[in-house]
Amino acid sequence: MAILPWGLMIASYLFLGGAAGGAFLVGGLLDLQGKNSKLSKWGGYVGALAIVVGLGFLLLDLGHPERAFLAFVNVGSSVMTWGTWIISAFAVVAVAYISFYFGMFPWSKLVRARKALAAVGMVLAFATMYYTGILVGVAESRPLWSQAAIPVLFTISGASAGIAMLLMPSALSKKEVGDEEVHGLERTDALLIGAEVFVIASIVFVLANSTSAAALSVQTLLTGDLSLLFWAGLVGVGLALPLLLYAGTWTFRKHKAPTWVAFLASFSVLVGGLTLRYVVLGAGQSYEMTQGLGFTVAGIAIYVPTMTEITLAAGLFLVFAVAYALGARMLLRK
Amino acid sequence: MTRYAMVIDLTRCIGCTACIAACKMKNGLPKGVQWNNMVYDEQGTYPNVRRLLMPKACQQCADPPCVKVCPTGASHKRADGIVLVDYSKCIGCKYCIAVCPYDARQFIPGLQPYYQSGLTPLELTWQAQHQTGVVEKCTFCADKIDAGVAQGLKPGVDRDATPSCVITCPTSARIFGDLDDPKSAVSAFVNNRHAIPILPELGTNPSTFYIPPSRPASKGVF
Repeated sequence: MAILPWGLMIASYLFLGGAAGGAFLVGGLLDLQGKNSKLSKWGGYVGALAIVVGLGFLLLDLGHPERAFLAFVNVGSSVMTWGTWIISAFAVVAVAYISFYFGMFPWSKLVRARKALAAVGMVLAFATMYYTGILVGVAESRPLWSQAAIPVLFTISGASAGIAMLLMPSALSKKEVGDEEVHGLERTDALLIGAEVFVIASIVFVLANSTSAAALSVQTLLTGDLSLLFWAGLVGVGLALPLLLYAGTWTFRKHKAPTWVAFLASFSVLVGGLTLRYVVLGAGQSYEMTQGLGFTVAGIAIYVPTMTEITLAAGLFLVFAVAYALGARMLLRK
Repeated sequence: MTRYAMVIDLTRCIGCTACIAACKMKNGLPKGVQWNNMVYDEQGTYPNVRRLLMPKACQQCADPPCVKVCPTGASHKRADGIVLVDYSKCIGCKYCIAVCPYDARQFIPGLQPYYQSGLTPLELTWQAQHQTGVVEKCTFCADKIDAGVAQGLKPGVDRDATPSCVITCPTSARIFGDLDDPKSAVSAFVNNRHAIPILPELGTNPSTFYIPPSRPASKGVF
């Protein structure tokens, strides 16, 4: 039996980490350009919220979260020690950054300090997105993960999900943030989704014709136990649907699209982002293979989340949704 | 230098799983925890088929990927080549499980009793040796080796300094010893009888070697 260590909780953590990075990156960029204070504030808030909840997912998955500090003091060979520093620093900077937008703090008028923090945060945001891919990318024994394309894919998907997280409520009140910015972000998101399709297709084509272990992993995605999630969840809802909706919105631009169209486009991108992490983690670990003694033994095991994991994940996503909705009310409707 | 190693002779293994039982008893492994496994497979097509039996535990790699990715240094390799987990340092992130190509590691979510009436006195004594929320795996019976070596015994030769699975095997399919000692039995098997590691292409350099089953599947065995 193959042993499946990482599941729903880690997939959610990697998803929120990527999305947090993407959201902060966009917000910080707009802040540095001095373009749209509302959207940059919102980007900082979404980034901070997503990374904090994402770390919650990680800590709840650990066997001994109270010892997590040990990972800080052992910086060395493991990429996870670097990631621990990067993600923690990003969370701290993102929370500090968003505090500048609340008048109650004495430093909220220091614009230069805020912009400097935005710049530092953007570097850490990118590092976080990239790290979520590196974490699984360095696992040499898992052919689906051990791909140069995986960190690229996770970074692109993180940026796309970050933009979708920013656009979801602003689509409901476009007047609040300005049509031009929203259209620019939608276009960027569509481009990123296109790039994602390209990278996923490349991985699938190359691995399907690769060694038997890699081919087994890809089969799990294409025709095996994860095929429904892969085709319906990732390809259908996560990639095709938002592309169609974006294309439709631009084609019929003269007739103003109903707000639910833009909402659905953003939401489906987020569903796709989570599904992507889930199926990559699941399929990467799904097989057990023994080779080299004149025979090959291959076994397939499929991860199924436990009730505890589903409950914890649902609870944390609910917390995220509530804080997200409250933030949207406070920051976007002022 | 010392490098402890094991050879598993698949031409001798009869699949009795006595090694698994011995491991569970020696290490006091709770319900659902197994450091030692048996891979069963049927190979070939009728009438040329054979049953494949293959005991599999931690391969005690000389370049262990689990140690490389461990964020806290809980997974470590001793000077004598044995890869161990320091339970007091393990945070249970499971990265080591994710990168182990041999599925040798197991996360311990909680200690379950074998019987509905609760933990037996024996299980209570086992409990002291284990922690929940950490990752465990085969230790090559490092505690037994250390105690034996302290008494001047030779691992692989003296029973009291040799892993329990090895001394239990009724067909002597398991051979244990020091790979850096050219006179040891494991050295002879690895050097002269073509005992080879599994998945060597991953560069893990395992210290567990197998003697492949005697005849290829196409000819049949039984």
